[in-house]
Amino acid sequence: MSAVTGLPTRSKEASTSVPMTTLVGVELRKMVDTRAGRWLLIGVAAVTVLVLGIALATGDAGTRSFTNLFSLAQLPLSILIPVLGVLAATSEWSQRTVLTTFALVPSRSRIVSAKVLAAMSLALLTVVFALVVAAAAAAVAPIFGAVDSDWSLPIGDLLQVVVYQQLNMLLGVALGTLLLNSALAIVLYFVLPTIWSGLTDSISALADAQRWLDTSTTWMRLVDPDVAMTGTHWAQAGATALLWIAVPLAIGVTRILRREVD
Amino acid sequence: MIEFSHLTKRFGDHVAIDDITFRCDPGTVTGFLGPNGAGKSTTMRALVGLTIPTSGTALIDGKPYGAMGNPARRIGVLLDASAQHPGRTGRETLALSARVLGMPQSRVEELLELVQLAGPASKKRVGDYSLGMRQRLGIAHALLGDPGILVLDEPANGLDPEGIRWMRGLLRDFADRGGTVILSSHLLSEVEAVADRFVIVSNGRVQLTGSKEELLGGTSTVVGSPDPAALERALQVADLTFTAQGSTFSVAADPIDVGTAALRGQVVLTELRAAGADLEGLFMELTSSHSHDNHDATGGRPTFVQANKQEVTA
Repeated sequence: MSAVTGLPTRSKEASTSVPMTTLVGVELRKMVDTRAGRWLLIGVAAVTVLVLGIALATGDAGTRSFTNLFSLAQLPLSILIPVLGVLAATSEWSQRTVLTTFALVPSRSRIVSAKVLAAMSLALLTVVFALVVAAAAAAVAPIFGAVDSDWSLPIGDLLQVVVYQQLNMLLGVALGTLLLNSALAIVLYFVLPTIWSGLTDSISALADAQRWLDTSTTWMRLVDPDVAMTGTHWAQAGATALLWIAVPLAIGVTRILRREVD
Repeated sequence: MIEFSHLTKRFGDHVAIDDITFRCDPGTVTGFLGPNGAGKSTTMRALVGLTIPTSGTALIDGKPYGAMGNPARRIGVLLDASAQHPGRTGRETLALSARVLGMPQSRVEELLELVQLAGPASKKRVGDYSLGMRQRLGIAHALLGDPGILVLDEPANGLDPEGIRWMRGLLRDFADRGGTVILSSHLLSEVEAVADRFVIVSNGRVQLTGSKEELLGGTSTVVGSPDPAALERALQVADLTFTAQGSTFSVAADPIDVGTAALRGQVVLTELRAAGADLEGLFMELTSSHSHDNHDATGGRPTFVQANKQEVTA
């Protein structure tokens, strides 16, 4: 027993801060090492493969091209992966494991930063996953019929896809950080943008707001093959990010830094 | 060494802890005792920076917890055994923290072995653990960083008698090798056998601190006679301090002095015994007014800890 509970204290190790890379790695692992997280990932992967499978089986030659399959894969990923971002921000509060997390690392701002960076890393990995799955699907596409051999993926388009996935992920993290309640944040993540779109669609006075602040308008352009992003488009996407990501994140972080943990 | 100095925390009008001052030295196990809602958890959470005190300080080896880059390498903490993610396995729970602490994976295996959660139990999800297993996982977690100080909030809660005996041995051994331990409990019996110092809190205030001997020192004697008036005279003649308790007297003196006084006054005694020889009585005495006082102080609102529990279950 004495070897396990060895003394004396190791003050040197205690004075060295935990590296940020370690914290990000741990937060990333926390997103996928629970039963809920693991099944969500498996589910998203399965849905993505299913969507591409349907496209292969039912689409025309153009649908079966790599470029189009990659673009198709973004839809299920962008909708479902941010739920993991919501959970990354909320589950520690719902399960009260913040008690342990903040006791291990008293700097709360470092933990919150690590969570944001972990979520962004995961979003990046999903784009890699989409590339792999789309390539695999395109490779087997000829089995299903005629294929347009379109393997082109301009780096600009790829970067826009990355930005799009990051924005969606950050929206999930921001809402989670603001609400610190898994169920509420997930529901609002799905419902709020829809309500907002509905409102701005039906009330003409809000048309300007829609042009600047509606995620389904401003962010969707990033992955719309028919739209070439202009400076105004980027500004509008940025303005939307300010309202939906920066504001809730800032309010949420401020609360976390001051909050009693129990 | 842990040092609490005038630590005070208010939540609005409610004073959760009030001017808490005491110290825990290396080589000792401090039993932090008090009824539920007395302020034990708030004090411990303030120590590790989870609660920001209204005033006062809580220092570890002279430093605030938050000033240490990787504090869990010096101080192991168990605040609530239920605060673990139910969807994670026991091993994964420890492995995550081991990575933060920079401890090797072999350390996780060692501790799973130590707390008897190795093998199949380590692969079970924490949600399927009993409260006793969660407590043992929590103790393993506190020991993970190989600390010199242990802070345990109600660690015996949910442990079976065998588990409590095991924990006592572990903590005693830890302190005997120079470690500092503070463990809280609302049950004296859980800590009486392992603690060498006691801090008793009630209503957010430290009521008494000291070793068992110090606490029970200044023993009083209960004495009774069929002729209370004669006994009272005899005690007065002997210049003893006493209070009447019904038909008996509580005298601030050893039984031999009280007996001698009665002999000199030629009073027949029906009762003569040392009082306060049990810590339990003292503990009850110090804390019995707790719930009543608390309701007065908060205008009938639930106490802080009760309010917390409601929030958790909600």
